[in-house]
Amino acid sequence: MRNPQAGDADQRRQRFESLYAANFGPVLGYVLRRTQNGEDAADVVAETFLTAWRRFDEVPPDDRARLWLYGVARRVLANHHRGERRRSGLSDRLRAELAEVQLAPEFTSELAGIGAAFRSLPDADRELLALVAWEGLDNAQIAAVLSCSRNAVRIRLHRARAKFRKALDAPGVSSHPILAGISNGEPA
Amino acid sequence: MNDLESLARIAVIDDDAAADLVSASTRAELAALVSADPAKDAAGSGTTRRRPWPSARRRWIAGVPAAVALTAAMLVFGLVARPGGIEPAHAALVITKHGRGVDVVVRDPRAVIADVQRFRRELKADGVDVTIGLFPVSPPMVGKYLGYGANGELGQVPGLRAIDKNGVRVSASFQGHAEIFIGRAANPGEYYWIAESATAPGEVLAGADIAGKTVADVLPLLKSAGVAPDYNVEVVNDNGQVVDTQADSVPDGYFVYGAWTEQPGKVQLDVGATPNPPVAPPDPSGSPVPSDSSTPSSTPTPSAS
Repeated sequence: MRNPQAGDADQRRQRFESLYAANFGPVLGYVLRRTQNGEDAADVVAETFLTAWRRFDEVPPDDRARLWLYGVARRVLANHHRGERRRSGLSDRLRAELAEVQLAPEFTSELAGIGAAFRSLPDADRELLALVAWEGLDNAQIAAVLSCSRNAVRIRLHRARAKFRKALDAPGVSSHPILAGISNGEPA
Repeated sequence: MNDLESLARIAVIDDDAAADLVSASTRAELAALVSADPAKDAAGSGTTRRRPWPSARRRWIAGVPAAVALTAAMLVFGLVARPGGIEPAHAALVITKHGRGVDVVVRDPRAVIADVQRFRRELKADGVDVTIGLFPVSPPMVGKYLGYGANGELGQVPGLRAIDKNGVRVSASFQGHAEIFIGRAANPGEYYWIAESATAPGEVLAGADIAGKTVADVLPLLKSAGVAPDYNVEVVNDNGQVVDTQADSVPDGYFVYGAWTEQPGKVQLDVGATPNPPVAPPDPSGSPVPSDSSTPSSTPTPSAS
């Protein structure tokens, strides 16, 4: 293909822009909840949307697009954690704005205990639990993000939760007073 | 749901607050920059710019005559083998480097388990960025090659593909950390890494007919097999999502949908109040419900055997 027809290109751009508008917050939120570093988050978000633009024909329609983007962000983030940072230049301004963000929350010792228990889990378990607790996804949606079967999600989640509960019960994690104090599961 | 509720409390930011962190103009600028990228409109061109295989390839080519470098190089790790001291018939792990990357084939999983540290060292020394993972599995899978993956997950990853039934080809452009996985026996209390149907051949309830039976019907079977249940209750929540909750006990009249190996002496029973598993109602907003076979797997599934 040399030059796509202008109409196609415009249409593609418009569709991308509505995808972007609808998903910028969720993707940035997804990334910030996992990295808590604004500058890193800027790079990951830019790379995620760049991937979506380049592979736009693969992006599924409707709400599934968000799950697809989570899947991309997850992979970009994993590479980022391995030190393969890409600074395309696209994210300069975003990085500058997010650099000021201070997300280190002032956790009480109780919440810090939950965080420690969570961090003690393997990456794959953490991601599963976070997709439920932070993104509010159900098993079918998680299956779409992770490109696996719903059944696999269900089983792995069951185990991840068991491990997490065990970690919460471990000495040094003051979990019970907190758990007893929770009236419903709405994210903060 | 206490564990998930507590986890929700440590989410540092929600989506709306995240979006509010960024000015409208910066958001618009990023969108414009991204969509100005010459995507070659290329449907699915997905040009992933990958780093060339970092050290292995360079190492291999360095100091080797070009003609030799172009041909495949095979390193065979047997119980005592090193390049030069090759005993292919007994090799536990066969590494082949070639222009397209590197192949790692597990010929004798048990021998690899028995001396795994040494095999790991040898891979590293040869610049092959492939890790050997040993994972606890139920008895029929102990001592078997489970598959390959990356970043701690079993499954298909772009850049990796199966070869020779017991091995993986890592393409030269692959940029993650490839891993091969072998099953080992689980310790008491240790979760199996792969969940297999507990009624599959060789498993703790092999051949038992449990689906559609009640908990009261199934418990005696478990007892005679010497395993205790853990319950996973399936329900449809107010949002129309099928969610699982875990329980130590459930009403005897609940129905059993399936049983999964969990850890030595324990199985996970999927149960619910209805004879058949609940199904999420069709979502008018188009929320995804992928079929179990529609997507490539990148995670452990019972299909690995």
